Amino acid sequence: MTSDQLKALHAAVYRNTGQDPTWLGYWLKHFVESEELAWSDLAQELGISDEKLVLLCLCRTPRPEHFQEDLRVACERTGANEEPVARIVRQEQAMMRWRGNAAAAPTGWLLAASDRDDSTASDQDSGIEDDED
Amino acid sequence: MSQIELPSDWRTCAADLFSHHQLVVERLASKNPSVDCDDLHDAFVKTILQIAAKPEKFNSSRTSTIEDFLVGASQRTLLQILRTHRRRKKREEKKAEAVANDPLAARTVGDTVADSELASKARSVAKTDEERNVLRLWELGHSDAEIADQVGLSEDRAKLARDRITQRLRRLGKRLDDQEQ
Repeated sequence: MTSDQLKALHAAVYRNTGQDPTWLGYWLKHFVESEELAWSDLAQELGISDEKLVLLCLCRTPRPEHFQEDLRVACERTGANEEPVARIVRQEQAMMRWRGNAAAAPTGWLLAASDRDDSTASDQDSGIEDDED
Repeated sequence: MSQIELPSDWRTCAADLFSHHQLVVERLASKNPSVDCDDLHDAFVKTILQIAAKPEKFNSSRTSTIEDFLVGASQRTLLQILRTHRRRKKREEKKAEAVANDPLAARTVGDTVADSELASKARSVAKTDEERNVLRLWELGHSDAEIADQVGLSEDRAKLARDRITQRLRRLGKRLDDQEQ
């Protein structure tokens, strides 16, 4: 497989995982688009190669009630730093809720976004507040 | 024949299956030489996502290796993708046909040139500013709705004005034809 073919395959992973919140790629794609980053920039931020980033996209989104455990499994598989991945996923989930897209997203992801007990310090740093009633 | 072992951890199952991409995509490409590379990749990626999401829906007992299993499943996904493309193409063709049958949109370049010659004569019979504006926009190929929007008329009124103008154009065209004969 040539490097161009590999890039096209990676693009297919970003494209397909980016359509479904079941996969980590969904939240990472939203982050990349909102921050206007290249995927390689994100890989650098997470401390992994482009190939490993593709694998991270293919991992399941952590369940709200097992967020840390599921995230650890995905990060161990791909070598990604847990803290920035957790921050990005929580930030994007909170943003989705903030934008009023609640109807479009499964309740579980929204619960994860509003679960203050599991929030990392960087959640507060992100400047996004949960709009819990 | 024993069932193939799928990756045990559902959280990273798709990532594990992805490691077979080289062999699977190559075999998929050789089976479908005329198919676009992006479609092959989409078929493979969609397949591993589907398997990882619901492994119980896939019967892996009929194949001897995980690659055979993935090639078979990806081939089925690819056929679905190609079917979707065909349906979309048909829809687009139907839409294009409908547009072509619209008398306003169906004007060929030649017709447009001819119309513009007629229109230059018709301009002299466009009696009001409103009609002149409608005629100018109609010549540019705008729809009744667009004309109405730009001139600030109701769509019915714009259509009425356009009908009047096109009737005059037809009459003018007929007169010109008669003169040529």
